[in-house]
Amino acid sequence: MHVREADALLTPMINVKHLSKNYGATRAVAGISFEVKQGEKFILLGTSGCGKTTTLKMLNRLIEPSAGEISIQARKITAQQPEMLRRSIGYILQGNSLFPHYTVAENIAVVPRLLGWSRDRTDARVKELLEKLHLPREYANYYPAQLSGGQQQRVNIARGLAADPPIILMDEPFGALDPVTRTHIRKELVQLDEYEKKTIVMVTHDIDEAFEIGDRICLMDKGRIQQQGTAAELLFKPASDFVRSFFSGHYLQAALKTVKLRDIWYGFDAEPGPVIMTSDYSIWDAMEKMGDKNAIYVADKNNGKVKRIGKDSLLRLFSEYTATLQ
Amino acid sequence: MNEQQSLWQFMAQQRDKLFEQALQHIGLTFISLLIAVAIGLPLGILIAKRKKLAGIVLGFAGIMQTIPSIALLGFMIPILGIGAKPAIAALFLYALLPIIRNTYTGITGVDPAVREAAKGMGMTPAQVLKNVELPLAMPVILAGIRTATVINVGVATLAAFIAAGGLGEFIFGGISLNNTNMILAGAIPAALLAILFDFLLSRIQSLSGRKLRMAMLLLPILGFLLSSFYLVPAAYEGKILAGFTPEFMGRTDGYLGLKQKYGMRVRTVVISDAVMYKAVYEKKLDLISGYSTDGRLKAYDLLSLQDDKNIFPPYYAAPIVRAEVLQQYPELEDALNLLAGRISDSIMTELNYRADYLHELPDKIAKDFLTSNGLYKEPRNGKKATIRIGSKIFGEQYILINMYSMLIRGYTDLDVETKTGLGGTKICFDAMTNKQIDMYPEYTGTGLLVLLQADTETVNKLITDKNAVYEYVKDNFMSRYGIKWLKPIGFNNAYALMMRKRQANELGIKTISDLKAYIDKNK
Ligand SMILES: Nc1ncnc2c1ncn2[C@@H]1O[C@H](COP(=O)(O)OP(=O)(O)OP(=O)(O)O)[C@@H](O)[C@H]1O
Ligand SMILES: [Mg+2]
Repeated sequence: MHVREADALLTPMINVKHLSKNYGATRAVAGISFEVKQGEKFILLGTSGCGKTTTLKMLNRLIEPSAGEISIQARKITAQQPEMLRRSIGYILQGNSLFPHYTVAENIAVVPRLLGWSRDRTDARVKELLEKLHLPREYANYYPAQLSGGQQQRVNIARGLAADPPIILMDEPFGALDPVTRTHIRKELVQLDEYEKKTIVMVTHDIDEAFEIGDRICLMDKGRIQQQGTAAELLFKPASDFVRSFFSGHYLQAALKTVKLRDIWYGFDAEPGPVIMTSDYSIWDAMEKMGDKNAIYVADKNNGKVKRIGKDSLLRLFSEYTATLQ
Repeated sequence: MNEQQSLWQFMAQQRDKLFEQALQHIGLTFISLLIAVAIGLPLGILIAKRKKLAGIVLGFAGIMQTIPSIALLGFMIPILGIGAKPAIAALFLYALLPIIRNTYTGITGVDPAVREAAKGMGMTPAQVLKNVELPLAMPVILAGIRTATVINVGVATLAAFIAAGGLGEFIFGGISLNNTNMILAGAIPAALLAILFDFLLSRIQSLSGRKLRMAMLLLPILGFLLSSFYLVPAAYEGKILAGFTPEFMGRTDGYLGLKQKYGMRVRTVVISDAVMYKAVYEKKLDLISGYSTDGRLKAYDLLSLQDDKNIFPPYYAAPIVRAEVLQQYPELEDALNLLAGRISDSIMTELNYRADYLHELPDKIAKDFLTSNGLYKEPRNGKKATIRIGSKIFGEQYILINMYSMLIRGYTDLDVETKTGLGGTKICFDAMTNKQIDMYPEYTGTGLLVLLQADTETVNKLITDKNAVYEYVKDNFMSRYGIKWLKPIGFNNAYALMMRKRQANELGIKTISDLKAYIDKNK
């Protein structure tokens, strides 16, 4: 969060204005505008067919818009060759998009090669990424077919990150994985040291995923933006009935994941104890950790102050907090 | 000749020829394959990118594939002449469809997610093609090349028909000479080549990743290497190039006799009789083995060389009639004998020329001839009985039976029914012994060698004397089958060596011995 705040004054990394895409009579995207700041994690959320993928692919010109314009760092994306643009933007799709005839190492090295990196530099980068994504070194010479779905998806992430692009586009990157692996790899991605400074636009229809990763969420329906804002804004201040009903089935869980310990930090008492998490974590996370214990100790990430979080006060403060928002 | 020769002995004895043919065969297969890949691969890529063209291109290549190989070779000759060019062009057309189709299928079959990833990573269309689409389509493309190779090894046997060489020379020579060893000496290596190349390509197809990429680099080089095999034996020395039918090549009364009795050594190619006249006319060849009364002799202004050492058996034509019928209607014999001695070689050639080349109708030709020789009489429309006349299927026979019909109708009270199109010798003769026809024109040489199948000793004794052959078949047909040979018509439709008249005159060649002398002098 602090990154986003620090860069708030800068021009947006991505600026989308009145963007439309028509397929004959179908308006896949109908005049949408949004901005993504540097380092921000921006989620395109919505039901199937609402235009998420179309929007994402217009960002790297895999699809050319019918109207509207897109700028990256204040420069129109049409100002350069589409191939050059794409080499400067990371693109992570599902695991089945790996090149089956390339080894893991060759897959990861695709963009560096296109950019003309030296062999040494490329090799070093491949090695580094294999390590960061917890892939054993000997996997470098495996072919995708020899890997599990989860491993393939790690390679896919590595491929998208390889040339260290400032922007990463992701289209349901975890869509094909089982729920456990999915959560696991998502965590790994979020914990990567390179992750923090990346500007990310991710398409998903998974509300959990959107809330966990997104700084801001853009909820779309029928090619239009229904609401964009933080998870809390969408959850607690829905702009329309559509937004409200979109989250209705998930409301409680989403709310527990959206509200962070620091949001209700004032209500707890300072008390030393064995710290197991920071105040950046959600109430959901705290309850998971608590299990059958009555309390846990949490540290403020900024000043290191430790407070005791008790089960009763946690739930009471949560309902107070959500009440003020509505 | 050694009667019971084993296949192995034959192959060992003919190993130089066999080796040359195998090299030519491999060369033909791979030259055409290389061209087919060079054209089919880009075409397949093009239609994979512009799907609207796919229907047209695949349709065209598909039609090429359905044209029977012999017909396709036939179409090629007016455009490309004889020899390697038309053979390669025809093989190329056969190889095209599997290559285009598999390239198209392979590329359109690439997973769209993978293609999009490639684009999304920033590859240009050319890079997507080279780095992703082609490598992924390669197993399918290789399968197409494999199919094309096997087809080509098979079809390349037909190259022997148009003087392009290859293992077909033995196969078709063996078939026309009824020599099983010769057939197998061509067919077994051809089959082995097909199996070998199919196996090798299947190995390459199953490679993956880096090894496949290596193989893909080596393959064209190998292709060129194999193609060059064809060029090695193609270089020939000597001023005279002869084109002989496979049958002529292997007969004692053909090329073997030329070598034995005349001591002639000439550079030869094997060619089918359907194209050799044209080929010698167009100076693709200098010497051919033809039939002495063939109309094309006149059409192409050829000269048939005199057989001064009598190696070609006589093929004098005469009507043969069931004796039973002659007894019943003795007037028939007189009518048929009106033609005896009337038609010389050059007249028959002229008549054949009008039929085969000017496409005049046989009955018109027959009537013109009879009229100008004062033999024609209006039909009497008699109904005494019906004589059934048969014929083999070629122009000369049609003309002859038309003449006989007119003579019978004009000079007797008999009526005639013609049964044309009885195929070859065997069918005509069987129809006769089964009493389905009463007469047809036959040739003495055929009677001796094919129908009576006289033993070698008898043949050697008779062969140089046309009267002796005639007497022999006449006696034997009568005693064995009750069939009577009437008087010969006059012409001798035998094997003959032919050259362009102009060239023969320039070189002062009239006889085969002259030719031999010329060849020896100009070694
Ligand atoms: N190439 C195309 N031609 C015609 N219509 C298209 C094309 N691509 C997308 N569409 C239509 O545009 C609309 C938006 O498609 P898009 O792929 O952006 O949806 P999405 O939000 O990504 O859906 P999902 O979650 O199912 O992936 C859909 O109605 C789709 O049918
Ligand atoms: Mg989509």
